[in-house]
This record gives sequence, C-alpha cells and structure tokens, in this order.
Amino acid sequence: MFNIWYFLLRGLQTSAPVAYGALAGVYSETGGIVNIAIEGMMLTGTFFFVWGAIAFKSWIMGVLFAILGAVLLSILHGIATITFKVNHVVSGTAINLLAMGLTRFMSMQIFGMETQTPVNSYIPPRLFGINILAYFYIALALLTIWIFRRTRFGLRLRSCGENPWGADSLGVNVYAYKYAGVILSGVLAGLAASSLYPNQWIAEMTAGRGYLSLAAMIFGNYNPLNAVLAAMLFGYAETLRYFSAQIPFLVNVPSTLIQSFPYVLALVVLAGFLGKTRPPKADGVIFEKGED
Amino acid sequence: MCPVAETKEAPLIELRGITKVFPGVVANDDISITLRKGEIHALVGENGAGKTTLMKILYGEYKPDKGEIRVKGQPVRITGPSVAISHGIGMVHQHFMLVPGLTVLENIILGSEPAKGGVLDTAEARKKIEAIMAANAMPVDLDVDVEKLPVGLQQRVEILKLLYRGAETLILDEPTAVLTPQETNELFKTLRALKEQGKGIIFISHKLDEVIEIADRITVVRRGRIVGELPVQEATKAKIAEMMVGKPVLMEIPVPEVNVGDEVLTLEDVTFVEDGVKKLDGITLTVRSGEIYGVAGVEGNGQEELLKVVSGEYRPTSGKVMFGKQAVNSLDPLRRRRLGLGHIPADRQKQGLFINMPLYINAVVGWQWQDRFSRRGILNYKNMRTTAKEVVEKYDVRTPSVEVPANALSGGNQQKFIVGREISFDPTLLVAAYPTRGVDIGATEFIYRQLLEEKSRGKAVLLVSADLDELLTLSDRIGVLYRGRIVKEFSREEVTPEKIGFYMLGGREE
Amino acid sequence: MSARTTAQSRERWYRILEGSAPVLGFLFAMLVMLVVVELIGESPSRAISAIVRFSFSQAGIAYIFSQAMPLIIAGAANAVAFQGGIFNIGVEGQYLFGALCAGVAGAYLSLPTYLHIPVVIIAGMLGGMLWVLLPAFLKVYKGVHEVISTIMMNQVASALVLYLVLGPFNGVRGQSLNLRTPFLKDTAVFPSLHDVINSITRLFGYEFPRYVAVDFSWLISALVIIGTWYLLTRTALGLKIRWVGQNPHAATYAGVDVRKTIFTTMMISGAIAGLVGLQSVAYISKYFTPNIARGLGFTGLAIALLARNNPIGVVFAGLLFSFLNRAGYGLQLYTRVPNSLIGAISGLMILSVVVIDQLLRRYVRNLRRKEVGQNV
Repeated sequence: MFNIWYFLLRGLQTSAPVAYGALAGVYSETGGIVNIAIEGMMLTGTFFFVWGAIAFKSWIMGVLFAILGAVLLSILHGIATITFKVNHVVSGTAINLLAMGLTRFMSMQIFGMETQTPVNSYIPPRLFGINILAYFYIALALLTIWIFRRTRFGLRLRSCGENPWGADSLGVNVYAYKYAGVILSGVLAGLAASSLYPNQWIAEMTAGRGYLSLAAMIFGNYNPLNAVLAAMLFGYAETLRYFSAQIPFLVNVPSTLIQSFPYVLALVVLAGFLGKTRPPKADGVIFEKGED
Repeated sequence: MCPVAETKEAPLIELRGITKVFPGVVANDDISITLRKGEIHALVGENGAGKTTLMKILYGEYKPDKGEIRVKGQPVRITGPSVAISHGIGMVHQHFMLVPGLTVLENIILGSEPAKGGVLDTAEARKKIEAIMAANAMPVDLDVDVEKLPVGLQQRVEILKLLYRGAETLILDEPTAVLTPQETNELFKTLRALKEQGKGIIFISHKLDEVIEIADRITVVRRGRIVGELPVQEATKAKIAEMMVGKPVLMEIPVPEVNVGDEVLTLEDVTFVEDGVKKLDGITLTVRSGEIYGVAGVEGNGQEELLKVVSGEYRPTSGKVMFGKQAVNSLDPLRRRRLGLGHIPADRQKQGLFINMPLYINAVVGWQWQDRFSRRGILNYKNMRTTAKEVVEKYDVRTPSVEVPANALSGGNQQKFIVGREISFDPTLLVAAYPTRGVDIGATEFIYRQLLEEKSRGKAVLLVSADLDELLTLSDRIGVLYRGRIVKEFSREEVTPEKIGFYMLGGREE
Repeated sequence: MSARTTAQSRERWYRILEGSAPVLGFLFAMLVMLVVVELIGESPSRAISAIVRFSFSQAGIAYIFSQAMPLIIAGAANAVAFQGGIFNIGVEGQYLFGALCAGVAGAYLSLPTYLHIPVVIIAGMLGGMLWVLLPAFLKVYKGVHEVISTIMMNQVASALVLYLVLGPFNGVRGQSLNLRTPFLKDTAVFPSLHDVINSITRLFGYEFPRYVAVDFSWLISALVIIGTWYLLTRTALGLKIRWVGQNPHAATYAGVDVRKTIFTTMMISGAIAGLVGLQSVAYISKYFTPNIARGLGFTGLAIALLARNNPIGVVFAGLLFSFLNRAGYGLQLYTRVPNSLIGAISGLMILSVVVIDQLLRRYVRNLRRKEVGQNV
C-alpha cells in the first residue's frame, strides 16, 4: 500500500541535502560569489562527518566535522575568488576536483580504504523515522529571509552582491562580507552533508546534488524560501523511486530511469517554467578596490 | 588641542602637498587646497587632470604617496571611506554608488545602520531621515527600490546619504553631468541651502558656466598640478578655459559649408517596444549626405534603443528604417555594415574593443567580413596588421606597436583608434555615439575635426551626445529625444541651449 | 628603429611571463606533494624514484602516450568551449552518450570497413552533439547557465546508458556482471597503428609494445588538435568564437550573431566530446559498457585550464595528466603513498595555476601601463 504519510516524511528527508545546499548557494551568491564548489564542499563534508563521528563516537562531532571540512574548502574558494580574483566558476571547478581526490586520499590514510569508509553507527537521531536535520531547513530559510531583510549583516551582505563598489564607498568591508557569505555557504554545505547519508561515506556519493542545489537556487530566483521549495520539488521527485512499486503509473518504469527523475525534472523546470530570474547584480563579478 | 585652531577658526579641510603616482602617470603633483566652512569650492580641469584622484584621496579611497590632510586644523590619516565619514567627509561619486535591489532607506543607512544587537532599527532611521528631508526640502519615497528612481532623485538619495552621516564636507564629482538644466537648478538650490548651514562643498566640474554660477572659489588643475586659484568674482570663462588647457582654446571650430545631398538614413514612424514599454515611440527622422544630425536628450530617453535600431541590434516593433532607398528593418548589424554603416559605439571598453586582444585584431572589429581580412572563412593577419598600422599612424594613436592589447592604451587613444577605424573604412553613414566622452580636450578637438571632415566628404553622420556644446558645435540639425519621441527638431540657425533644454524636459509648444 | 625592436622584445618577454603560470603551478603542486609524502612518513626521494621508475620505463612511456589520447580529446572539447566563454561541464555525459552511440553503430550496422569506421566515429560525434543540444538551447533561448544544465545532463546520461544497455542494447546473454553492448563487428574495429608509429619512433630508439593501445584514435586526437588549433587561430569562425568568449557586447557590436556562435561553439565542443570514448569502445574492449572509465570530462576541464585553452597546450597538459595518473599507480605500487594523492594534487595544481595566472596577468598589465605611460 502507498502510505502517504511515510512518503511525505521520506521526501522531507530526501530533500534535505539539496535544500541545505540551495541555502548554501543563496548565502554565497547573495554576497556575489558564484559557488559551483558546493558539490565538493558537500562531498568533503560527507567524509568529514563519518570521520568525526567515528573518531569521537558522537554524531554531533560528525556534524561539526562536516561543517569544518566544508568550511575549509569554502575558505579556499574565498581566497581564490575574493583575494586572488580568480573566475568563480574556474575556482569552483578546481575545488570540486580537489575534493574528489582529497576525500579518497583521506579515506585511504584514515580508514585504509579508498572508495568507502566503514559503517558509522553514530548518526543523527531520528524523529518519526527520519534524520532530525530534515526538520530544520524550512525554518532556516525563513530565518535567512529575516537575516537578509532585518539585520545589519544581511543588508551589508546583499549590498556586496549588488554593488560592492557602492558598499565599499560607505565604509563596508566588502572583502570581509564576501568571505562571510562564502563561509556561511560552507557551514550550510556541511549541514547538507550531514543530512545526506551519515551511515557511511562512499566516493562521489553526492552524485551531483551540489549542482542540483544550484538549480534549485536559480529556480527559486535566489530567494531562500523559494529555493528550498524548489529543492523539495526535486527531493520528492527522487523519493518516487522508493515508492515506484506502489504507484500505478510508475510500476513499469525501470528503476534506472526513475533515479534520474530529479535531474530530468530540473531540466524540464529550467526549460519550461523558468521565468525571468534576477540574480544579484554583481553576482560572479570580480570586486577590486579602486587602486589595485 | 591646538590653540591657534580655536582662536582663528581653522579651515574645514586642508590638503597639503598631496602627490599620487600611478604606474606611468603622476596623477597629483604636490597639490594643496583648502576648504572653509560655508564655502563652495570648485575644482575644474580637463578629464584626467587629477581632480577625481585628489578627491578619492580625501575620501580615503586612494592612499597618497606624499602629503598631509588636515581636518579643522588637525592632521589626520584617512585610511578608508569609513575614516573619512568619521571626520565628517562625504562624497557623491560621478558614477552613483547606489545599491540596486535595496530600498532608498536601506541605501541611505547602509554602513551606518542604527541597530540593536545587529537587528536594524528602521523606525529610528526613518525618523532621522525624514527630519533631514524636511529640513532641506529634499523629499524622496523611502520604500521604493532605488533602481526605479529617476537620475535626479537618485542623486538626491546620494546627498541624503552624506547628510545622514552628518557630513560637514561634501564632495560632488561632476554632479551635473547626468542632469537636465532644470534638475541642475534644483541641485544648485539645495547646495546653496547647505552652504547657508555652514557645510563646505567641493564641486568638481568642467562645465564653466555652472562653476561660475555656483562656486565661491575656483581652483584649476592641469596634468595633476594646480595652475591657479581665484575667487569667482575674478573668473571669466575664457580665463578658466585658458588655465585648464594651457593655451588659448579654439572655442570655434570652423564648420565647412557642404551641399546637402540625398537621404542616407531614414526612420519612418519607428516604434520599439521592450517588456511592454515603448522605448521608441513613432520616430521619424532623416539624415542626408553632407549633414550631421544631432540627437539631444537626457540619457535614458531612448538613445540606446535608437542607436541599436539604426545599427541593427534591435528590430523595430513597427515602422521603417531605410538606408538610402533600401528598407533594412530585417537586416542584422553585419548586413547593415556591408551597406556602408560605420559606428562609433557608446561605450568603447564594453562595445568597441576587445580589450585583451591585440590592436591588429581590434582594427577590424565590425569589418572582419571584408575579403581582405577573411576569404572563404580563413583569416588574413597580414592585411589586419597593415590596416591597424594605417589607423594608428593616420589617427595619431599613441601605442608602442599594434601587437599590444587594447587595454594598454589610454582612454583617449582607445577612442581615437575606434574613430579612426570606423572612418578609415569609408562608411556612407557614420553613427557616432558620445564620441568624445571621457576624452581630453586635445583628442576631442581632433575627433570633432574628423567628424566635420566626414561631413565635407559628403557622408551622413548621426551624432548622439549628452554634451550640448558638442551638439551645437557640430550639428546641422538637432532633434530632441524625450521619452522615445523626437519632440522637436531645430536647424543650426534657430537653435539655442535654452530651447533644447526646454524640450529635453518634455516641454511642449503652446 | 631600435625603440621599436626593444618594444617588440619586451612584448615577447611579457607574453612568456603571462604564459608561465602552468609551469609554476605544476612546480608548486609537486612541491606540496613531496611535503605531503614526507608528512605521511614516506621518503620523498623514494617517491620520486618510484614515479620515475614506473613512468619512464618502456611500458610506462607507452601507457602515458596511449592513455593521454582520450584526455587530449576531452581537453580540446573543453578548450574550444572555454574559448567561446562556455563551461562545458557536460563533456562527461556527452562522451558517455557518444560512446554508446558509437558502440551501437559498430555492433548493429553491417557495412564495409571503409564506411563502418567513419560511421562509428560520426555516431560518436552525433551522440555528443545530441547530448549538448538541450543545454545549448537552454543557454541561448532561456539564459540558463550551461554549468547547471550540462551537469543535469550528465546524471541523465548515466541513468539512460544504464537503462539502454540493460534493455534494448544488451549484449550479454543470461546473467553477467559485465554489463555491455554486443561486440562491434570486425569492420568497425579501429586498426592498430603500431607499425606506422613504431617506424617513426624506432629512429629515436623506442618502440611501443604490442599490448599498449596504439590505434586509430591517435590519428583522431591529432586531427582534433590540429583542427581546433586551425579553427581558433586561422578561421573567421574561430575569431568569432573567441570574440563572443571575451566580450559578447563587443561581438554584437561587430555584427557577430552571438546566440548562433554560442550554439555553434557548444555543438563543436559536444562533437569533439563524443570522440573521447572511442579508443575504449572501438579498439580496447570492442563494446560499450556503462562501466567505461568515468571522469575524463572533468580531467579534460582541468587540462584545458592548465593549457589556458590553447589546443597545442592541451597536448602537453594531456600528457602531463596521463603521466600523473601513471605516477599515482607508481606511488601506490612501490611506496606507501596512495594513488588518490595524485588526484588531490591535480586539483590543487589547477587551483594554483589559475591563481598564479591571475597574479602574473595583473603584474604584466601594470608593466604595460607603465610603458605606455612613458611613451605618451
């Protein structure tokens, strides 16, 4: 029997990594830094989670480690794009390559296995059968909207993504806010990683979810809540595969194809339903102080 | 505390011996100026004379290599805009520094936000700003996206930003460049009121009439040095102009008498609609051979669209564009160039050049399709280099060679290169958009002569400019563009700046 | 006259300086690698000798060259795209789908050799082009960034080839772990080029062993490189591609149809990408399998970045990455350093190359400004 409640809960969990990832994108791009590196940050985060959880026998340490791993890469992305003014997409791509090698190398060094870790039993607690982290991202999106609209930090971060020269002329430390945006992006990528599959790390296990997060962010027109809702659209599409045997029109669709549903859906959405998006005006633009 | 400063009031701002060197250029060479309370001090000079650099040093955006800044008699080190702001110094940049996507209120408070524990206190900010707006008669709607305001109001927001921060010294860099004559009057009213309150204002301009009208004192800068300072009572236009350029300026360029020939460009009832907005609304005009047709108007009234409809980047929604007798509505820019269109673009860096590519490639931009540059899809670099060298030599472009990338050239030389390129291909119709924007007087005069030369050779020139003097000097006829319409057309004989200004603002014939 | 020649020699020096980032980045990454080797308790000199021993043996050199071929093609596919301002992260999916198409064309069609091989090649190219068609359309008409759309296409390609090889194009009877299409017909299999290549290399006292793939795909790689080099530097289309890549506004002003050029660029890139898997499909295994080596598209991206999108540079960068792969195995075999270190180091190398490149360009730009300042 198709259990609608179970489907809804399961979908909430499946959506979590993409939803946190989409928020990660929102923080970075609101500050004007295009962040393709979310994929690599999530991948590193997944490894660090398992490492931290096993080493300290605690899922909380797992989450902290996941955040640490993702943040380290986000700082690297910041150094390349903000301090050294490298093209954002180029830096992000290089970091993704780095993450793929780095996680394998660390897994080999720490666990003696290159493409997977041992099973980790220190996973976040479950509430109604799903990862407890899956209950927070909608609230986090609302909190983010509040931060952007109502706090000094949010106002300044937005100004750096829209017109960094203007912000600079008013004494706002543009470089610092851009770093803050990217680093927060890393924190959220760490949460995305913690909500993905904390039982074990497997090489390249993020399988493009970081990029899917960016698609959700674009579809949500850079608005935190809409980005999360778009992520949930993709997440529920992915959830269908667990239920395909119970859903009449999916029974005969091979499972290999159902796997690609969220990606196909993302393409369909981008092709057919994407209205005019308004990215921050200086998103991806290299900011230089006048004299450099 | 310095006793002298208290007894005899020290000037608001003193700059002493400021020197600033950029790679290859001395931007400021031992400059000293002062600004007193309740004074409007104009800084005039050509583009590139070093005025903006000096002000950016005062505002903390550049570090001086030498020299001292004193605020109210106290030496200070201004290491960044926030330090300048804390010393009561504020600056309105030539290109506005407003943040799109933020409301007027957010723009005003940005960087000096009243907040409790990081949470914005917008109620308090609103109260404070409303008080300032009331005191200075400068109302603006605080809750609209600043992007949506007209330029005059955007500038008002910029000034409110300074007043909100309690600025006593206001630096305005070319504030009137983007304003209509009437908006300028409004601005001047505001400035006089601020002066009455004891603010000091530094006013940067190269429009001499305005300077004489508004300033108390005038300092002239040339090539990074001060060439003189005089009270406004002693100033005349001719005197300032002479100081600016160092030699008597040729105020009148001889305009050749040319017999006007056939229509080269005709627009018939051209309308262009974008996102439901009529950017061009029933434009009808003709440019004939041997004639320069000037288009006047406040920027943003359809100039960009007009240029693109003529160049072929946009297709008109309705109406007819004709080159000679041929309708070209459906022809793309390339095909129009094949019919003899030359085009000096509005933005040389963004449109006219590939700044990272060598000059010999830039020499054929727009003309790359000619047989001598590419035959059956294969490029001929030898001919490109030859052409580039011709342009460089004939149009006096200062460059070490044609192998260097375009970004190695100064702005004026880039512009001369583009003008030379477009003319050297011998077009029958030359579209010139803001041909001397950001170019020094020497190069400006050179470019004027080239355009007039084209006219005497029987070419048709469509000149779009924001500079009324330029339009009046060069044009045989002038059309005034307002909200996408040519609201009035003047011949050279009947035109005056006042008449143009009246129509630029949407005035109508009674 | 002498002023002109010094200006020219100075310009040449600037070019060299601007172009030296890949070398410096490589050296930096190698330095970091040796430090890491030291840190994990292995001796750097042992590591170096392991790399040299394993990479520069007769077999080592042969494998480096042979395995560089798909990398060079993937690098060229990315370089063309980059030159046109496009990030084709979808080379991955494009070669996967292209390889499937080539495999199917080779297995199911019956043609004489002189037709069958070209058909297999064209099938690969068409497969790659088909897989970039939607992203190209989205880019041109919807403004969807190609990084997002091509990544999605990669995921879809993975699922689709699996489905197709499980279903309609399954070449395995009964149960088998090695999922694959049917074997290619003999007429579709690439010929070996051992004799031709060895007749040249013998002059230098070297011979490629028979067990290393020296095949028709070498010729394809060479043609791809010469073709992209010629396209980008000698043709009007190439100039348009570079213009659009550098500044679409200026390209529009110059009368270039920017959308059409972007579309063309993506199609060319996709067609080249479709060739990446051919060595595996049409020579080494003689069938298509979803287990075909993955990640070449991403390595190709790194190669293009390292080569600064210069097709000739792609050859060297491709060989370098092939060498790094080999070096990784050498380390794994003879020392306690795992193979994956090389993967991490390549990522770091790309990052340092782009950072150094940026710094050098700025430095040279300032030098040029100074020079022009003096001249005026």
